[in-house]
Amino acid sequence: MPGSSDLKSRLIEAMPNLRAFAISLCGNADRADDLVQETLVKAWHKLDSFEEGTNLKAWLFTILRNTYFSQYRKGRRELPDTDGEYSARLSVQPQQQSHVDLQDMSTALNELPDDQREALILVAAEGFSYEQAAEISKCAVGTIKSRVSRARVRLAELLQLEPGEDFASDRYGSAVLVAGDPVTRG
Amino acid sequence: MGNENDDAGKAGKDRRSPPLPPQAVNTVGRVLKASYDQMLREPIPDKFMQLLEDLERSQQSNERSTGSEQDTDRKRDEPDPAAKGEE
Repeated sequence: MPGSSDLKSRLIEAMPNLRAFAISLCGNADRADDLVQETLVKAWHKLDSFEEGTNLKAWLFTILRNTYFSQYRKGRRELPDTDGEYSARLSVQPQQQSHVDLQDMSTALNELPDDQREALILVAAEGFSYEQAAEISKCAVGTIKSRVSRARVRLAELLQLEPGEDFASDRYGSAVLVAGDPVTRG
Repeated sequence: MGNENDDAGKAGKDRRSPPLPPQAVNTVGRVLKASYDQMLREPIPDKFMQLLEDLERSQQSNERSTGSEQDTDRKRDEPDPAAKGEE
């Protein structure tokens, strides 16, 4: 039985990821914080069901997404729309080399169906394998793959990344997008 | 005349996900990762740390005295690890 202080430090370690995942699902920082708190309480009390040696982050993500889909998703559209607040706050922080328009990405993400957004975040942002993501979402690996790929296409559409477009778009700044992608046109 | 167009239109509707050029996939991935990483760098709200401390404290007091939550001073209630008489 793991000591509680050990568990505590591991929960603290996972917390930024839990929070980012929750914000991505909820599209709203306040509700995301409620979701994270509920997840932490559940995790703490269900600790017996965690198998030592397996992936703690995946286990926590499973609890979080189950809580979201059973309780939080319903209220998603009933609440006043404060989606922009969090990312607006973020984008105030100056980042020297990556000037990403978070507002655009956040808005585009919120356009995606829940299951696609979840799959995309797990695989493309968190770096889970397709297999791990399938386990977390309790669905087939092929389902995850197709959700991720549809999500990518949809995001590219929403962010207006048309095929053949010069990606050195002013909106995103050159540092993030153009590095490694020199566009030469003859 | 019309048939060919119909077929083409139908096929286009059924699979309305044109292959995304690798560049666009990279771009989506990079913007997403950058915005997600920005969230990861956000400081943890105090309320989460507070919550964990509360959970830890309540667990400790539960372990110390199963049943009475308040009177931790009452040492007689402490389960004595040495007292295994019941088994």
